[in-house]
Amino acid sequence: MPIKLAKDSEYQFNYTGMQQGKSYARLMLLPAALLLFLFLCLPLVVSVGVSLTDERLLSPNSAHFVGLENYKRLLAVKVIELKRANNLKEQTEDMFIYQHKRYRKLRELVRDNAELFGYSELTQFNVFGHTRVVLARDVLFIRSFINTCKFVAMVVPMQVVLALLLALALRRNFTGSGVLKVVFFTPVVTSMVVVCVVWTLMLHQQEGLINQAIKYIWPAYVQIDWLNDPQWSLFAIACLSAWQGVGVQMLIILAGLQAIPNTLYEAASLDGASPWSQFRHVTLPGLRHTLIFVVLSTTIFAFALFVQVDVMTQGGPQDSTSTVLFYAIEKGFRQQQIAYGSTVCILYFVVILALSLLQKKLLSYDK
Amino acid sequence: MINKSLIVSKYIRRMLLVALGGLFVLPIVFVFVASFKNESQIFSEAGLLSIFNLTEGVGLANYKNVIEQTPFLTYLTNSFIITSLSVALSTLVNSMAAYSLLRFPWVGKQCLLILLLALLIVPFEAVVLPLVFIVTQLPWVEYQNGSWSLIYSWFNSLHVQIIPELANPFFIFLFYQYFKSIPKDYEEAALIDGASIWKIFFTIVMPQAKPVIATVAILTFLRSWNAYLLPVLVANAQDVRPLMPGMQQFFSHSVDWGAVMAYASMTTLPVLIVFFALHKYLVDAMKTGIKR
Repeated sequence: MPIKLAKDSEYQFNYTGMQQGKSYARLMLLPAALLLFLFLCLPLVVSVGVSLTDERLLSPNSAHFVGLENYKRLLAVKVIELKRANNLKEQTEDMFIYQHKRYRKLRELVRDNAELFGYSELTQFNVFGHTRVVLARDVLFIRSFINTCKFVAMVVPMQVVLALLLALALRRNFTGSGVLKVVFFTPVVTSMVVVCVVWTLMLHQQEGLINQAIKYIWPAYVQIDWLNDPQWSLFAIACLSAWQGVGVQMLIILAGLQAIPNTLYEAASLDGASPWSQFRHVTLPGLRHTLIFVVLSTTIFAFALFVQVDVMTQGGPQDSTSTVLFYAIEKGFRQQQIAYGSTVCILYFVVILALSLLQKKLLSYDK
Repeated sequence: MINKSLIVSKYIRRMLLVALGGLFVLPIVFVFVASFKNESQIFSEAGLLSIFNLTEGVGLANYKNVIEQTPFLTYLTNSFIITSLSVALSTLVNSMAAYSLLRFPWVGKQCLLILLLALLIVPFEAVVLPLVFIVTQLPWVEYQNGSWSLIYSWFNSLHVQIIPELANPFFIFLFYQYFKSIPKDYEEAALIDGASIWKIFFTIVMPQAKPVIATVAILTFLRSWNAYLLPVLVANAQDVRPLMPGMQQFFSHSVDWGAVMAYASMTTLPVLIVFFALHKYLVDAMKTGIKR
């Protein structure tokens, strides 16, 4: 949706002999300008400023300048390599070697090495028999960031593919197609809190509608406790988010489909193109622009995942649904570390900015 | 032969689509149906058809419980005030700004417009934490015990849930684009006849801008009514809490699913009424609205 800037003179009042208008013009712009400055520009500046300090919300102590310390703490990740100490016959516990010293526990290792101060374990993996441990200073943030990326990777394909299918099915008007469009759009206007509440009930392990339905179709199914199983919780949230939001994408794709000239399809079917190759060679290229827009705006939207987590899982189980924004609010507001929370917000903003610029670039390149 | 099978497959596709549509609204229908049942019925009648069994329902008992035992009516009033003021003021503030930008020779207008375009990218979520920080320092006048007094925080008030989200670069651009399609001749003629800018704006321009007003009003309505993040952060007190955070509170403390569903129905019904009444406008609004 490109926004064109007006050429000045074309839309402007011819100004000669009309002095009173000037002050009115200022008055008309003033409220919006003031509000935008106070509640959009200023917070942005404040958050950059605050992120360089150790400011706390509602704290009597004055803040200190700490430089980039907050950023360092958030982003610090280290990978260390451990060797198993398997030459000791008498050992009873697992021991490993790091820089020629033996350790029994990772905690001891971190305590012993000054350069690892403040780090804790994020995850471990094995490469060619050597254990590599990923350490981070703020494990929960890194985990939240990974969770958010996982969520995006799940919800975006789900939502866009479903929206595309729905749009293709509804592109030609037939009896009831209007009603169906309204039906698929209804979840969009429903409040996310209400959506979360009803899905919590439907996802209930024993008596939930979803597990009962799956069990009915597939009797051998062992009921998954969707929201309390770290393996499934994020997926469950992705499903309900896709369900809630798909109507918007469907409408946008429908608009994109209508822009493809019908003559192209007529020409294709005259040439004997199968429905699939029509889709492949007419529909998809015609939708390129729309799909880029839809994919990237859904991604931006998905990055802001917060309400679902706050209402349904509170980041749990085992931090499997903690997201960037949830973590920012948790730290910055509930634990009152506003400086640290603001730092998270700025990193979030940088991601959104990058995605927005990518979107602009791709869309303008397309034209 | 080919035609026949094509028609059959078309009908199968449409039936599948209708079935999918049924599944789609099922959760929302479920909210309303379950609000007339008690806990054990909700759980025992969880089949695809038995959820519609209302023969042994509890009638309006859940609704009565919610209204009598929770501050639901307070929340509802708060949400109503916040939403109606937001809709009215947001339409006004953004349209005035757009009109002023379009029709008057501002110094550095291009810069202003580009700055607005840049602000479009800033997501509300990214600035919400520092916003909390800022609203704790802002002054406000309040009428208390027969005299006006100055308060140095916007925390726990209704206006803190209205004012910060009023001005919106995206809405300004919507109005800006729309006003461009209105020829300026009438307005100039009225100017020459001595009409004031206000009169021109409210009697000539705004009546012609109904579609875009509808778009902005609907988007603001949905955002304010469904607001969650901002009120959670800045309006913790019960007397200023709106519906959605109230619902989250009730949901996290209540074990009575029937009552929770009654609460959910009552918050959803106004939105659905507006939706079904205005869905033509709403669809247009959403198409343009995804940007924000």
